[in-house]
Amino acid sequence: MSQASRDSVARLAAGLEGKTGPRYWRSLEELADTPEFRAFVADEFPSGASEWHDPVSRRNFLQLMAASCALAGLAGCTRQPEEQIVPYAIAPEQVIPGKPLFYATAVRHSGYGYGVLAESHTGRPTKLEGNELHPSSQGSSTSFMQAAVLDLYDPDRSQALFRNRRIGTWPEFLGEVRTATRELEKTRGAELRLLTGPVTSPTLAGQIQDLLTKFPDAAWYSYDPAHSRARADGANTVFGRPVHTVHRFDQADVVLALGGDFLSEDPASLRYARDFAERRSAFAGGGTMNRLYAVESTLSLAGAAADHRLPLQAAKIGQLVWALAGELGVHSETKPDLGPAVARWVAALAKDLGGHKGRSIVWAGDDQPAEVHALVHAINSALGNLGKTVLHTEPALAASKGGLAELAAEMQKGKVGVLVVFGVNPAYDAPADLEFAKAMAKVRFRIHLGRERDETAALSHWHVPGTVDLESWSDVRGHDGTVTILQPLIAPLYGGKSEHEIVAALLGNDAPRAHDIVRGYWKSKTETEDFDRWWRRALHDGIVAGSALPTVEVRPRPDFVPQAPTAATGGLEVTFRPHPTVWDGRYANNAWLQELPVPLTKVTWDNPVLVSPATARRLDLDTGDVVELELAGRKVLAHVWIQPGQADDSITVHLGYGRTRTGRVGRGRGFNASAIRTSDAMWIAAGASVKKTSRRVKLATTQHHQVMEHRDLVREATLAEFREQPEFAHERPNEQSLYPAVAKGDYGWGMAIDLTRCIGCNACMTACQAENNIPVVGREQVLVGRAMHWIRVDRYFEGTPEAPRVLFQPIPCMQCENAPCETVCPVGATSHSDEGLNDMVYNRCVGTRYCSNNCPYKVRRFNFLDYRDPDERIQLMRNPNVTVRARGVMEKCTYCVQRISAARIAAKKDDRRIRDGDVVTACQSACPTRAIVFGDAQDKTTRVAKAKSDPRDYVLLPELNTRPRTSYAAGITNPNPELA
Amino acid sequence: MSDAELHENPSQALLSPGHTYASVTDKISTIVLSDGVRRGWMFGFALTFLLVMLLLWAIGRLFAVGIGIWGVNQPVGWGFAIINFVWWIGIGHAGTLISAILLLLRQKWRTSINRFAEAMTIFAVACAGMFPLLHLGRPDLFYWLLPYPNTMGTWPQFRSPLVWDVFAVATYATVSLLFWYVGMIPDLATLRDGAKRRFAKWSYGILSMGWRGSAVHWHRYELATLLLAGLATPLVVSVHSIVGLDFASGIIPGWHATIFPPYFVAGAIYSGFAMVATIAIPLRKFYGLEDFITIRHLDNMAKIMLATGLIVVYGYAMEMFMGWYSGDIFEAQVSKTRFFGPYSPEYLTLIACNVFFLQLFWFKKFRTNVVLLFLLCLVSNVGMWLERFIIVVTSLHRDFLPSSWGMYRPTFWDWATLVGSLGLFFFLLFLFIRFLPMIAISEMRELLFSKDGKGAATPDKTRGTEVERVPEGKKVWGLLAEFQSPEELEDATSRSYAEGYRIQEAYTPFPVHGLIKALGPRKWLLPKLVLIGGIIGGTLGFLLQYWASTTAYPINVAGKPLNSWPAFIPITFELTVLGAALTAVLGMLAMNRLPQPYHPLFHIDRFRRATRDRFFLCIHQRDPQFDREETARFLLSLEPNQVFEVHP
Repeated sequence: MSQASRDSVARLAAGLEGKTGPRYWRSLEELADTPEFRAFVADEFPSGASEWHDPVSRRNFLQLMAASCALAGLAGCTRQPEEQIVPYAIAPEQVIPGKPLFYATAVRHSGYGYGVLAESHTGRPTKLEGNELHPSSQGSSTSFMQAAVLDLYDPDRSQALFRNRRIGTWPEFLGEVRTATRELEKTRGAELRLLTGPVTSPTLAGQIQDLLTKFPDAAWYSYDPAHSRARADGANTVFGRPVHTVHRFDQADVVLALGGDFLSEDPASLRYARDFAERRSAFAGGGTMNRLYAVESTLSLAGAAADHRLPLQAAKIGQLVWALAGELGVHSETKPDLGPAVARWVAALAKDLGGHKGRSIVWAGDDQPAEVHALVHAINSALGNLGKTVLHTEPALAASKGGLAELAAEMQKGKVGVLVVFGVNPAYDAPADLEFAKAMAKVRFRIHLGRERDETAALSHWHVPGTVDLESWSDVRGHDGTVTILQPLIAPLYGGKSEHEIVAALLGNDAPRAHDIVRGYWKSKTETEDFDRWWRRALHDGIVAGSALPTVEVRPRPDFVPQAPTAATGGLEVTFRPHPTVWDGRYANNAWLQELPVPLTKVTWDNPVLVSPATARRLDLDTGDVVELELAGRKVLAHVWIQPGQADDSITVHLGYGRTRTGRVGRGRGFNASAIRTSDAMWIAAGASVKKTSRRVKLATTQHHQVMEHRDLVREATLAEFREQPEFAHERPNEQSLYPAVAKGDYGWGMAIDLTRCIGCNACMTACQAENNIPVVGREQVLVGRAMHWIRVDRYFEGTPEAPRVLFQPIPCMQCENAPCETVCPVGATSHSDEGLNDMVYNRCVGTRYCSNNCPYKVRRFNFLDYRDPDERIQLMRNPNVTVRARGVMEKCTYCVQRISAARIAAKKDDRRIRDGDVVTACQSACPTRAIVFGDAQDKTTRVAKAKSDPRDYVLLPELNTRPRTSYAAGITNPNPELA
Repeated sequence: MSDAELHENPSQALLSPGHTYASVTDKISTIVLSDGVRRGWMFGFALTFLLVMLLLWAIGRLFAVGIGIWGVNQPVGWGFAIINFVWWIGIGHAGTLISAILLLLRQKWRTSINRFAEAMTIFAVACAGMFPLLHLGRPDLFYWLLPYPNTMGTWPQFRSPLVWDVFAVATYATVSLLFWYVGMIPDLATLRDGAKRRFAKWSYGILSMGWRGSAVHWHRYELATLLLAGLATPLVVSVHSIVGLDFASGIIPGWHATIFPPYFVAGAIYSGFAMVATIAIPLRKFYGLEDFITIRHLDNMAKIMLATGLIVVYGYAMEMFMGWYSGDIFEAQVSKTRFFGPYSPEYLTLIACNVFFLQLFWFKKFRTNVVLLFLLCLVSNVGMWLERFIIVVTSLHRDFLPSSWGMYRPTFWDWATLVGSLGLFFFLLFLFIRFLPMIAISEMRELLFSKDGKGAATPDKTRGTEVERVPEGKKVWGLLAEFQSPEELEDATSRSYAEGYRIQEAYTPFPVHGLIKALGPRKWLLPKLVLIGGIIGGTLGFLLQYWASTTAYPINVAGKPLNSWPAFIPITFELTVLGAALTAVLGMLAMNRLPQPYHPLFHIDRFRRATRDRFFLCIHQRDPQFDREETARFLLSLEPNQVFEVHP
């Protein structure tokens, strides 16, 4: 604690003389309102333990505690201090307790925005839904978007300004910044460097431009540890100008995906997934079906969805592309020798692509180098896809001077005097060869703005707590450039500042508000007479109309000569990939994402390295073995996961773990892949070696058994087989019963899940978790098999471990008509509603767990311990319409019964029936591919009833006569007959 | 087997020769009435006490932290708690079987083991009853499984086998307790009359309810015991059948099998006899009771274990057969998993214990060698515990969807609870041995009487010629004559009845059946009352379920009809038994006017031997023919040991 707050206590004592009891409290509260005191309170539980060894601060703390105790005494020995509860004297317009409000805004991820509608209960954002109007989300969402709510309330977020290790204040900070900028003005800002993540925000880009105008010799660097610029660089090589590429998967009949994962890793993935699934499902209406080929080193969602998947070392993909380019006539040089099987594969692929000119897409992931991307652009051009399935626009990302490597070099040379970092965490994720921490130490004045007091904050002189989405004004572009203006639903919970305010401070703009900055920017950019109207419309819709980036027509430069990729192949390679749930580490403290099973391994809370079964055999490795992974002399201890479908001699390492300075959730888990990552081999590195140690760790996985054991759980057929026998999956259950029929209610809820559409992304799981207040149990509890997700996505492998087919199956509660769980409950805590729901009455449950034992689908979840988060801040996030379950109580999917109730109330008020589409379950709403349909299955006109009358419709385990209300549409694949 | 044969072959004897009513009584009651404790007992008691503390610690932690301290999880929602429950309740079955079924079958050899077998039942049921409560996620709400009117208007869901369990176990515990206690009343009276210390006298006095060994009491007592035995026999079958239904009602492969109820009952008897022998063998050695618990007892128990064990083996074979024959892939998976899955060591151990070691019981050598038998019984206990482990765990850990397959691994707290429950069981057993008669004394005397009545009575040297008068100023309530053998008493009673005396009463240390005829004709109401009690219990039970399920709390459960009458049968049955059993015991006590702690006969010091080795006839002053002098003379003419005047 500073001298300032010591003085405050003295001031307080002086000010209190001669005042009566309750007055003292007001005085204390007034004191508590000073920035110094707020700062002090925020540091009540300092993460730097050294605070406690500092005698001055501890004594001050005790003094202050003593003061408040004494004051409490003055107010009376036994009476509690008087507190007044005041209802709204003038209620805020539209706020009706119990009735949520929805605001359009966006959630940012890797610099791009995803439009959402945020649900707010009396001022507390509780849940996000995709914004139908937004081109990237189209009403769907990813797990990252769903988990943004938890990020907002995260009790471990940074909650105070820090000057070195001491609490600072905003005015103090502004003072120091002012001094520094005065110095910088003298040198035209030559020593000023700004480091950010990718920026699509027009306002922020404009502010940075202003900053660079004010300090012409300053420089702005940006980087993204989870994305490369290879596609843009490749385009630059081929087309001779910087462009941004957008793919139209809804127009593509044949798709080739090379590395990466266009269904989950691309900024446009959410849209791509929808487009892909829509095109894929066209067969149901009598149309054709697209065909997906995937070549990749590690299994991805795209690889799992592919009709033909070829596991290949990442470094060899370039050769395959070169061979393909040759087949397609992009070049006429000799083709590399890929072996007969692969050559045949490539020939068939080339024929297929060649037969769908203008209706195909060749897509390469961020892990592929620019030279491969250049080839891909050339192939797309040769296939006539440009302008049809592959569009180009002006760059979406604001162009910075360079990336991390350039900045690090400047810092090493001592050219940087003032460094401002926000949106990224280079001290954690910079490649090891840059020695970023050492370089950073050479900077005289270092400022960090961030949501967490993270690794970079620890190396900075000033740390300013950042805001997150939902609590600050900003703007952001979607994958096609469409702008969304972010509006806050709540004042910054922990007094955070936005990046706009930091840049404004550097610009010397005193006490600006993010709102004014963003609004000011747009006011200056729009030519409209009624700006207020424009602004309201933009906020209401969640998009700025017509802000999508204009497409540009490009063609390969005449002097473009295709070059064979030069990547070294052979030996053991390591590929670096963002972690499917905690990404580049920014979500490391998000417990929902930590506990979300990785779609293809089902591992939670960890980042094991993925090794193919054959390589594991060769290296004598087993799942859980701790190995020393060495790359170019740098070593790291990692643990092994044997992953079917992984390319041989290719180890996949996920970023995002090994965080040392983050909250309680993410600290010290897994290992940091950046420790062996180098700036010249950011994605694929050759020449790795693996040394087995004697240690083993247990990996917390939610699915232990990977094959279906010859059970017809996931039913699948090829398109040809389906055409032959459309009802191949359908079984007519015997509807006869000795029991009298049960009276039916007004509605009969049902769900249909299309396995052709499901890509296994797990967005439904996080959406369900957010909607239904599902607790997080932690790694230890997952290890013993107590994960709580109400909906899970089962993943089975079929075929050989080397090249398996991957099958996904989302499993919510089946809401059986003849529910085995209901019969065995001794207290009737689970029973059937007349609308077909298998209701669960938490209050009545005594916890025998018989229902769970007797559930053939094992969808029931039990609170073995008290999994509720006692933190009040987390409680703010809870959906008030869903009971938070106590210890010893069974819980399960309810088809979002609270949403059915809300729709029922709305319908009753209008004196009408609930319409089809009025009730959208959380999983259905989130699903990127619209695989889940819900509604009144009794009414034959609804979408769900139609889905259930699809010939592919079947239920799980029909022989048990449970009569589930959740049914599945069998999966259909479209393999190339030439490769059969 | 005739008595002559028994004498020729001592190893086949039920009771060693040379005992008298008095020696049998003293030998058994000394264990309880002697001062001080033996070192071995103290050691065992201390050890089991520590284990009880361990149990309390485990339970305390369970309540504080939650069920999550155990290894249960998804998909294995049941673990040690249910395994232990089934195991303990199975063990209890031997006690009921010995006391009830063997009583009905008139198997006299049961006499010396039935008392502690019954005690074992009580303690095993106590241990068992604890687990369903502990295993609840919210154990404080266990009473929601009971039907009681409440403001929420909720009722239990009577289709659930867990509710059947509540009724079955509660009925079983009640009936066993009644059976045990009623059986002990005459022996408690013996202890009351033999006790030296005031506290012991007082305690046993309260517990024995003023039992005096009246011939009429004995008759009603025997009626009640017989009725209880008749009721307990179907009960004991029903209880483990219902426990078997806990599993068989489930649809989980490995559970969903009709063989479960009979297979469970056989397994229960098998494990119960193993436990009886496990306890009996060290006990007879330690307390020198080889005279009472003979090799023949052990041999018989081993034979029963062999018979029931073979039924269990048939059950295992059937499970495997159905796994193959049904053609059901899930059942087949279960059978395969048991042999080759992650729990195959447990399964193979179980097969070794219950199938291979069981075959040794075919050999007389193993049945009659005390040490070998003891070891085999231990093996059987372990095997039966493992059987429940296999049924609960292996069926759950891999069911329909391979995605949800998992493993169950018990934690320290699981083991602490299991070991703690063993501690509790033996702790109670140690207390029982020390404070209650572990062998039914009156039944031993009866056995002696039926075998060799002549030599069993200890003759008095003197014959009384004088009447012992009441103190000055006291009124005379009746006249009491003491005889030294049941034959003399029977004779005397007949003569007294012939003389015209009607209000008279005979007192014996064990039931003497001829006396009832000698005392004159009577009507016996008890069997009819018991029938009515049973009908009332069953009717109320069914109506309760019907009304609750169709009228008071009609909910749609899995599309089943509101009146799911087949599901109401188990509880209806249990309540029939409960109603009948309560009527039998309460009716017997009421008609015998017990408890009656004060009775004029207790003034006579010699009357204490009415519960040991003497036989009394009492003529009441209320008898119209009664005359203080005349009647006394008449009694003296019967050649009694002594005649007393009794004051009120």
